[in-house]
Amino acid sequence: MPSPLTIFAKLIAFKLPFAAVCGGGSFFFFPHWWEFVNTSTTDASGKCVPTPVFPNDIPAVGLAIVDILLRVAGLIAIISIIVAGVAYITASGNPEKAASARKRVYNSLIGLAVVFVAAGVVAFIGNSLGG
Amino acid sequence: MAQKLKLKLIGFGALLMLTSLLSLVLPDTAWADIGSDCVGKSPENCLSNQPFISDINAIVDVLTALVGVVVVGVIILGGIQYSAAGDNPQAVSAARKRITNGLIALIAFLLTAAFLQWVIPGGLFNS
Repeated sequence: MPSPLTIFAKLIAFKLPFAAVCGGGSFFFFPHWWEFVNTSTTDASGKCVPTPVFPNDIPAVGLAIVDILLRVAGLIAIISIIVAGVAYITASGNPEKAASARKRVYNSLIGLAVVFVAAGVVAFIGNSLGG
Repeated sequence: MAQKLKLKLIGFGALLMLTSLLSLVLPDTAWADIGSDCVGKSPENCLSNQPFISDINAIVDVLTALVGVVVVGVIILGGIQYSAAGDNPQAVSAARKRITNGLIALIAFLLTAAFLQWVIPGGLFNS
């Protein structure tokens, strides 16, 4: 008799597409939306022609959007830390301003940690179950 | 607010425990034979060969794969919100609320899926 845990494992690993045909490459740091679409082909000039199948490739496109969001998260965290650093430098002995800048750094690091823990857990589960 | 949330989570947990216990007590029920509700039947009498049922199965397949992706997307959005919050405590609590809501959705989905897996003959995933 399968335990509930096996059912959950089956659920999570279920048909999540991790292979790409003409993935790779990016547009201004951000990956393309067809990154995980398996039915893509390349035309004569080597350009990617994505041909997603309607119901089955929705999760693949969603996964590509999640990948784009990951990079956005990294960019925003870095920008926020730089802004906080500038605020810290220009605080010039004002304890309130310094505390606010420190809090901004903490918050951006917490946000970054949340994002990477979420993405890392999903990648770990997907890899270890052979999804 | 927190009290209500606690009540909801306890309710879902009780549901899950109940399903697990029932499946222990009744080993010959649906959980025991995933994807084998056609064994010993003629093909036209088998539930998962009916066109309507197989259409529903295709939709359920796509939606289950989508749930994980959407939950991760929501948690990442919450992280972005947290990073961009600066030192504004209201924005931080909004981001935290978004993250908790994503996690609640995931737990609710898992418990519902476990319950349906137990209740549906042949299980949810027999395509």
